[in-house]
Amino acid sequence: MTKLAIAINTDRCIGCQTCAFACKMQNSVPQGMAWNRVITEGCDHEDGSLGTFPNVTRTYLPLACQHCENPACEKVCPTGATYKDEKGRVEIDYDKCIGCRMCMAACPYNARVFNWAEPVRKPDFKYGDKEVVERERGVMEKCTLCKERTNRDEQPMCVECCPVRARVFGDLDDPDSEISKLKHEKSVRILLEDKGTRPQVFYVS
Amino acid sequence: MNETKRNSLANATMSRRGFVKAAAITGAVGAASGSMFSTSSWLAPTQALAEEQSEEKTCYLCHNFHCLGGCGLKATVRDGRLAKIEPRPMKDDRYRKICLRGINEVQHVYAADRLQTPLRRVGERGEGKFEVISWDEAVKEIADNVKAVQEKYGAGSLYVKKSVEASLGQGFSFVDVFLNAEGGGLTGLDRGIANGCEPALQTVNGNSVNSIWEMKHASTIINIGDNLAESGIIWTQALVDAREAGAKIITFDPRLSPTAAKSDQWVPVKPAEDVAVILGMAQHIIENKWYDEDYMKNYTSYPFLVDRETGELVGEKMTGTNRIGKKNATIVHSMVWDEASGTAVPYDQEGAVPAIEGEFTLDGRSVATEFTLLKEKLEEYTLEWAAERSGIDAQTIAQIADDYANRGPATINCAEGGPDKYANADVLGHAIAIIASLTGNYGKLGASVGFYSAGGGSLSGTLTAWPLPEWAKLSENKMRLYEVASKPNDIHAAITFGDAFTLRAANANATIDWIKSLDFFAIIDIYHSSAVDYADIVLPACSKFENTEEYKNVRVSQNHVYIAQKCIDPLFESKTDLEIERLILAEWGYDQYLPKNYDELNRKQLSNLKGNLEGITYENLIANDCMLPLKNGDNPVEDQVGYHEPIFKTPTKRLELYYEDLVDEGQAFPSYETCDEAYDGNPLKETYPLVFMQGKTRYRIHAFYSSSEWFQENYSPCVTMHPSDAEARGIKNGDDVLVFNDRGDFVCRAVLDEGIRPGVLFMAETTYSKYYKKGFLQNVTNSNLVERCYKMKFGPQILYNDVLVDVKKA
Repeated sequence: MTKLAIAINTDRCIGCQTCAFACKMQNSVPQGMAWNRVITEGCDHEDGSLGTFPNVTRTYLPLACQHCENPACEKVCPTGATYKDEKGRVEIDYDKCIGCRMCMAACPYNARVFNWAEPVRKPDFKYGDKEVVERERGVMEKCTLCKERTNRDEQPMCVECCPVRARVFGDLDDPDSEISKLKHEKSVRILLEDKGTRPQVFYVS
Repeated sequence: MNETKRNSLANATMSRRGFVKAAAITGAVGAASGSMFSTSSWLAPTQALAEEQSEEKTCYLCHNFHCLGGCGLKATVRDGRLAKIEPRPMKDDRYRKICLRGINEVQHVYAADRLQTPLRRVGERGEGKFEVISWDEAVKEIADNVKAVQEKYGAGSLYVKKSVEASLGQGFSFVDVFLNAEGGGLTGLDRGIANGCEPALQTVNGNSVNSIWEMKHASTIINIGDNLAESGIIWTQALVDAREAGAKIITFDPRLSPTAAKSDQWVPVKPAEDVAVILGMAQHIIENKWYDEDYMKNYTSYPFLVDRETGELVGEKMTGTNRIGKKNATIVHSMVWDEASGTAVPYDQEGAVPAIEGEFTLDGRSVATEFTLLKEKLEEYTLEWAAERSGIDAQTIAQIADDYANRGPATINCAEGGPDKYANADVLGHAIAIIASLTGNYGKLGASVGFYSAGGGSLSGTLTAWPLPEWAKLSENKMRLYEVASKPNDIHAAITFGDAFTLRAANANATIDWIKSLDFFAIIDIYHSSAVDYADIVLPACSKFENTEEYKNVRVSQNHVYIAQKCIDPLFESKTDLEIERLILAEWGYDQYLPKNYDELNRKQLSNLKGNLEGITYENLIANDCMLPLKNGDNPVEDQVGYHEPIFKTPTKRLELYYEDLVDEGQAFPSYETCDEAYDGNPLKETYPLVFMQGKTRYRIHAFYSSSEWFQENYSPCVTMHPSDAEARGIKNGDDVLVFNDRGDFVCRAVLDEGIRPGVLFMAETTYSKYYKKGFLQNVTNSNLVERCYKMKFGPQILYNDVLVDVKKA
C-alpha cells in the first residue's frame, strides 16, 4: 500500500508563506481562497506573539488538508465526492460535489474552501499546472497533495519550493522512507489528535 | 488540543474574512489606477489561440538581486503567458531556491499597476494626471528638455540614476555615462555599521567575507539589525541549519521579528542602544579576562603604541593604501614595546615580544599600548550602565558576553537594518570589531562578522565590459542623493530608472519639494510607483521575464553565471532597458556606441573570460540551460572563500582597531553616543514619545511588489505597536491611525502585538503611496546627516530609524 504524507519541521519553518504561494500558483487557486497558509498559532494576525512583553513566543504553523487516515470530511459527504484514494490522499471529485458544504463543517482543521461566487483568478488566464482542473462556483476545494505532481512522482509544490527545507514528502508505508524515519526519530505533533482523524500530515521538532 | 483547535480555527477563519476584505480594497484601487487595459483584454488574441493549441515551454532565468537572492528560476510559459515558476534544479541542492516573491511573479508581471504606454504629465507634479503619448514623442521630449538644461547649466546638471533593481537587472547603465551626467555617488544607504567595522575587519561594503553556509560551524550567532527570515529569505536555510547543528542564535531587535522568533534568545533592546550592549559586553569580557591574549598579540593592533598626548600611533609615517582602500594615504609602520629588550621596536620585527599592556616613555613622550587605552576607555561602560541605556538587564548582557567569548567560534551577523539607521551606527560597527578582535572571533572557521543577507562571501567573477569611448563617463560627483533635501545643488533635470527618489530619501516632503523644483524629470519604470506621479515623461519598461530577443541579461549570482531566457513578449507597449537606452541616446547620435541588442551585449560580456569565469562561453552557457557554475562553484563554497586564517587585508595584515583619523572626533576607539533623535532623554520625547522604526516584510523588496494582487490579500501598510501604547491612545487592533511629527504624517492600519518593546512603532518599508489612506512613511523620517561620517568610507547615512513620532486614531 501507499500512504503519501508530509512532515513539517516547525523548528525550521520561518513562516515565510512561500509554501502558501507555491500552492496557490501550482493549483490555480482563486483570489480570496487558500489551500495552504501559514498561521501564527493562537494569534489573530500574521506574525503575532503569545504572552506578555518581553516573555513572548511565536509558532508558525503551516496548515492545509491533513490527508487524514480517518477523514471526517469523507464520512459526511452525501455523494462520495470526497474520497480517500489508493495513494492515501484525500481527494475531491469535483463533478460529484453538490456544494452542500457538509465536509467544510466537518473538517476540524478548516482546511476546505468553497467557491461561494464565480472564482476570480489573477491573472485571469489559467496559471499553474497544466493538468490541474479549475474549479467552478458551487464546488468545494482543498489541498490535493498536489495529486498531478505526485502522480508524476514529483514532490508537492510546497515541498519543492520551501526555501529552508522544512517539509519532507514521502510514503509512510515505506519504512525506509525519510518521512517514516522522521516519524519515529523526532518529536511528533499531530493536530487535534483527540478528534480521531489520524492526520497523515504531521509536525516534527 | 482543544486549545489548538480553537486557535487554528479562529486564525483561519479570521484570515478568510481578511481575504474578502482585502479583495474588495484591491478592486477599488485597480479601478482608480486608471489602467487602460485589463490583462484579459490585452491578452484576448492570445487567449483565442490558446483554446486550439496549448503549448508549454520551459525557460530559465535569474530572479531579483535587490533582495540579494538572485535565485535561478525555472518558468513554465503556456501559450505565451507566464504560468508557473519554480526553483531550477541545481547540483548543490542548497542553491535550488525560490521564495514567495519569485512565485508571485506569475501575478505580479500582469499586475494592474503596470505602466502600459509612454505618458506625458498634464496636471501638477504629484497630481498623477497624464495623457498617453507615443514612444517617438516621449523620447524626443526627454531629449529636448535634457539638451536645454545641459546647454544652460552644464552636463552635470542632469542627474541619472538606476535605482537598485533596475541597475542590477543589467548591471550597468549607458544613459548616465554618455550624457556625462551626475550619478549621485554615495547613497547614504546601508553602510552605517560598515562605516565603523570595515576599516578594522576588511568586510566588503559591510558584507561578511565568509560564506553564510559556514554558520553551521559557529557555536554562537548574534544577529544585530538583521531580519534574515524576511529580507534575504532564501539564505535563512544556513541559519536554520546552524541552529540544528547546535549553534545558539541570539537576535537583537526591539521587535520579535520572524528571525528573532526563530532564535534561541530574543534581546528586545531599546532602539539605537545595541551599541550600549556591545560596549558593556566588551567591558565585561575585559574585566573577566575572557579575551584571547595570543590572538590579540599576533593578529591585532592592540600591542601598538599610541602617543598619549596627540593620540597618534607611534611609528614611521609612510605613504600607501590605507585600511579603507584610499591610495597615497599616510599609514604608520607601528611600533610595539618589546618586553625582551625593553625598547620600542617595529611591530613586525623578528623575535619581538610585544607587551599587550603598559605605559612607557619613549623619546620623552608618554606612550601606551592600544589595549591599555581601550581598557581605560571602556571602564565607564559597566554592565549596569549598559543595562540602564539598553533596557536589557545586566545579567543578560553578561550571559551574551559569555556566550560570545567562551562558547566556541562565534559569528556576528550585523546587517543593514535596525541600528544601521541611527546616528551612532558607526560607533556600533567599531564596537563590534572590538569584541570580535578581543575574543579572536574573526578569521577562523565559524567565527566572522558582517552582513550575511547576501549570503556572505562567494566566488566572484567579472564579465567582460562593453567598451565605451573615453569621453563617456559621469561628471564629477557633486551631489549625493541623501543631500538633495538638505544642501543646495545644481541639478536641474533628472532621469531615473525606477523610483530613485521617494523610496530612498528620508523626510520625503523636503525631497518632493526638490523634485518639484526641477526643470524636467523623466522616469522609466515597470510599475506606477510613487515617484511616477512627479515625472513629466514616463516610459514603460518591461520586467525581466519579458524580452524581444531569446536571451537577456547575464548575471553572476550564488557562485554561478546565469543568462536570462526570454519567457514572454513585452507586455503592453513596454520595452527592455537596452531598447530604451538606445532610443534615448539615439537623440544624440550615441546609439552607435551601444550594443545593437542583448545578443551582441551578451556575446561581448561572455567573451575572453578569466579567473573563476574561465571556460564559460555564450554557447556552453546556453547549452547548459542558461546556468554554469563558476570555477569550483560545484563544490561547497564555504571552504573556498573568506578569512580562515587571521591574516587580513589591512596595511599591517592585522585587525587595526585604533582609528587615529578619528582622534578629533573622540572615536579613535568607540565612544558611546546617543543617536540623533530617538534616544531616551531627548526633550523632543515629551512631544513625540514614540520611536518609529522600519524594517522588512516578506511581501516586499523595498516598494517592489506593492503591485502584487496576491500579496495585497495578505499585506497592506500597517504599523505594529504595543497594546499598552495603543490603549493609552484609545487605539484598537485594525484601527486606522495617523502617525505624525513636525516633518509630516501618514495614515495606515494599526496592529497591536506583545512582541514589540513598548514605546516603539514598527513598520515595514515600503509601499507605493497610493496604497496609503494619506501620505506615506518617509514623510516622518529624519534627514539629518552625521558630520563625522564625511571622514568615513561610506559617508553619512540616512537616519531612517532615528525618528520620534506620536500616533492617534485617524
